Amino acid sequence: MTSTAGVFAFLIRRTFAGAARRRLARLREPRYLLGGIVGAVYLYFWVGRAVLRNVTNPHVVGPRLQVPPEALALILSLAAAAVAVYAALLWVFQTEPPVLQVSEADVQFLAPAPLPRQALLYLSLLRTTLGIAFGALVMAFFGRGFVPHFWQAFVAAFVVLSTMQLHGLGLAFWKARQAEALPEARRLMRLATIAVASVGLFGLAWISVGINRAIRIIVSVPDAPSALRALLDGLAPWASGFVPVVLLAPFRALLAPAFAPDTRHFLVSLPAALAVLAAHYAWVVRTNARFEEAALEGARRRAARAEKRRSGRLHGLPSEAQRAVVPFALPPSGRPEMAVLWKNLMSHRRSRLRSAVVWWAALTALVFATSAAFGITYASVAGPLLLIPGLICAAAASFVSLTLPMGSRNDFREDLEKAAVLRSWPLSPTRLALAELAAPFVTIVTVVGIILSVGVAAIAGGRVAFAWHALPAGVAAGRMPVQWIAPGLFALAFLLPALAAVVLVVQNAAVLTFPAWFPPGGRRRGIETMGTGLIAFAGTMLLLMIALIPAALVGLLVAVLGWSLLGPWSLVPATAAASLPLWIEVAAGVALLGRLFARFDVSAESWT
Amino acid sequence: MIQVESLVKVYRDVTAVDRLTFAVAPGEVLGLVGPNGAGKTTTLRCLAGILPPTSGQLRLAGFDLETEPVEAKRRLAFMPDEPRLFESLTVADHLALSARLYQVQGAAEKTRTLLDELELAGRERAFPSELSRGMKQKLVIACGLLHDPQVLIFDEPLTGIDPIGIRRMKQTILARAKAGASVIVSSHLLHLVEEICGRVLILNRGRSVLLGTLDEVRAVAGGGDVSLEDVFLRITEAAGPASTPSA
Repeated sequence: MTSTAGVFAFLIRRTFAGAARRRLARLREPRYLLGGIVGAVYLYFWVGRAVLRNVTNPHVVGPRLQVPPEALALILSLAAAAVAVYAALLWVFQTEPPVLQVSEADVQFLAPAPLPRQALLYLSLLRTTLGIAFGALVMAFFGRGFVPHFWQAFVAAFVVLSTMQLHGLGLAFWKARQAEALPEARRLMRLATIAVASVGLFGLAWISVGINRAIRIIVSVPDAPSALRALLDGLAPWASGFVPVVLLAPFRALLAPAFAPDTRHFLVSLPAALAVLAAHYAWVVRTNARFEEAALEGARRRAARAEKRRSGRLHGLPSEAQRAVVPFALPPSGRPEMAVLWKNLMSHRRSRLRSAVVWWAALTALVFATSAAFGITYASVAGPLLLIPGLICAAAASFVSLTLPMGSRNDFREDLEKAAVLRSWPLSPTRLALAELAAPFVTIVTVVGIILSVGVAAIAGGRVAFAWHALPAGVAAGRMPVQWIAPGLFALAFLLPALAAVVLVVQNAAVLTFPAWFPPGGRRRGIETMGTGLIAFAGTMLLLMIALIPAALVGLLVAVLGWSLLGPWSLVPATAAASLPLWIEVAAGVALLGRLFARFDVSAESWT
Repeated sequence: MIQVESLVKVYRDVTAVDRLTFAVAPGEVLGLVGPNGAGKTTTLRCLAGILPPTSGQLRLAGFDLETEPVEAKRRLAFMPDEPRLFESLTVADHLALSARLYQVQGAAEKTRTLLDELELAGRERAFPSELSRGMKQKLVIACGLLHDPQVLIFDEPLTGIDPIGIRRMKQTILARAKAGASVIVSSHLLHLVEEICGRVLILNRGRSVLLGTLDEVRAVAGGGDVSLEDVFLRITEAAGPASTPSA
């Protein structure tokens, strides 16, 4: 019989070598080379340098978060309960068939080969293990501030992730067998499911009791510094009861290395965690289930995923009911641009715009009512209510206005793949460009609108609470600039849509001008793609800054002129005025996009 | 009416179409044939407004494609050889999109008729990834026919379509011509061209080699009871391989 390990070693070695050679060959093209350099430099400075430092000197882990050991024990019990609840949900609700991580080619070549019938299972486990090892490395990197040793974090994360993965696979095999088992065996299997579900339920109940007790302790202590001590003392009996110590013991054993306060505790707790992992491995390998069907299912899904990635459609096909959902009714008469907007909105997501408006109104009303009720019930939170939700919403709306236009694809960035089809439509290039930008713009405005409305609603609720308690507005939140928040949110409502439109124009212009650098269609992967993305980001930011200069000058002028009359509210007319130059730039940009599209060369794909 | 005058299309240093002139009258079906690389698809793409011509004049239904592109395209239907559909739109969505783009009156009724005629009824909610190649082709054709175009351009219309579909397609093309549309059919299936086209234009190396009725074409090739395939082979073999179009 052929050596399975030898075959796998050859397969993985050659796969890596082939992929590396392909990547290197691509670097002969300047766009990939530059993208690759930028991507590599970025990765090195962001992650690589720190990882290398930790690998070569694992004790240098940067600023450590000092967590008391008893707090760590408490967190371990909570994490164990959470994992138990997750496992219970899996046991009750998991209906997916078992899936192995293999490709169609793996099945085609290895299934008929003279290898043990578990060969594809081993290959799948090997592939998954490599992926998990990478994931654990990333987790160790990000978690390095919480653990005393980099490799300790890596091993702990690897053991936990591998066990959870094996648990999911083993359960899927087990359930598949359950469906075929004799009635008596099926009854036993059902009892096992009930047992695991019960552990999960106990875990959930235990967490609920703990939360309830914690709230009572926090409310009763006078200040924040003493709250932690009171919490730890108060929750000690709860954390050492039957549920965490006995019922959650296997889950605690698995997670213990991840929460070990030092290397000695880590080494002591590691064998038990490894035993849990080994038990799971034995469970999966000895299931004697239909590995072949699982392999075929895995290969089919992998091929479907690759096809989705290629076509840029990462989510699955909508359900039968969802297929009838359109953003709005599209009658055959009216502006043709609306058809492009309608199409592109569906390309992003099939949902009704009317539903979005209803949700918007409902959410705003709910936030207003909650804020007012909270402020009326607890007078001490009325002040922060005027400030904190507004600040968070302002930051979130600004972030979304910049990132969403860059992340969106439902405009020229996706449609340019079908440039020939767009060209044959009876629409002038400028009108088509406007129509192409409309869908992401509508989405961004909706999202930003919802966020800002939530902020305004929270502030309005806080104001109601203020009036209820008859508090003076001036002491709303101590020295915090509360008076700026509401005008700031309204000002952003004027400014952010214009900013988002400018970013959309720049991003689409990049695809139309340099389609080879920023290719339309599905999302691609790789360091060089990340590098070109970073170049696009830097270019967008630079152009945005240039575009903002006239807007900033106009806005500043209006703000200065209006300050004596309106105070902080002068922000609103200032941003309204500032948005005018931006809209003029957008209009010029749309005309430019039209010209670029008219000149866009589709011959590369049309030449026959 | 389709009018092409001195059409030239140059890709970098390669002349794909060279001083091509022809016209297709209302109610006429013109067959466009030629070996691979002869410039057929380029000609059709120029006519559909997809590629800008290097020089020459193109008029569709009386509208100049350069000066009045929107009006010209409003009267045009272009059915490409490779059906390019939007992955996120269902069959019904594609038809609704076309109806709006071309401002189709009575779209619902026409949609139903076309879905029946092209055997797509019952697949209204299917996505392109759930359709066979032939069905995708039929959907593209349904979208093209929805607005009753005066100019129809088919690039390899029968690729991937089953025999019943082929028969229906031929009937559809002839019916549209009979209703007054000017039709161009580009195909390698010479028996199809013989069957449905009134005139034939043979292209080679981007140039018009022969243009005329089937009888006229046969006469040029020596007359007698020769098939279009024989004529085509004689003419193209005499001209030599077409893989390197003349500059």
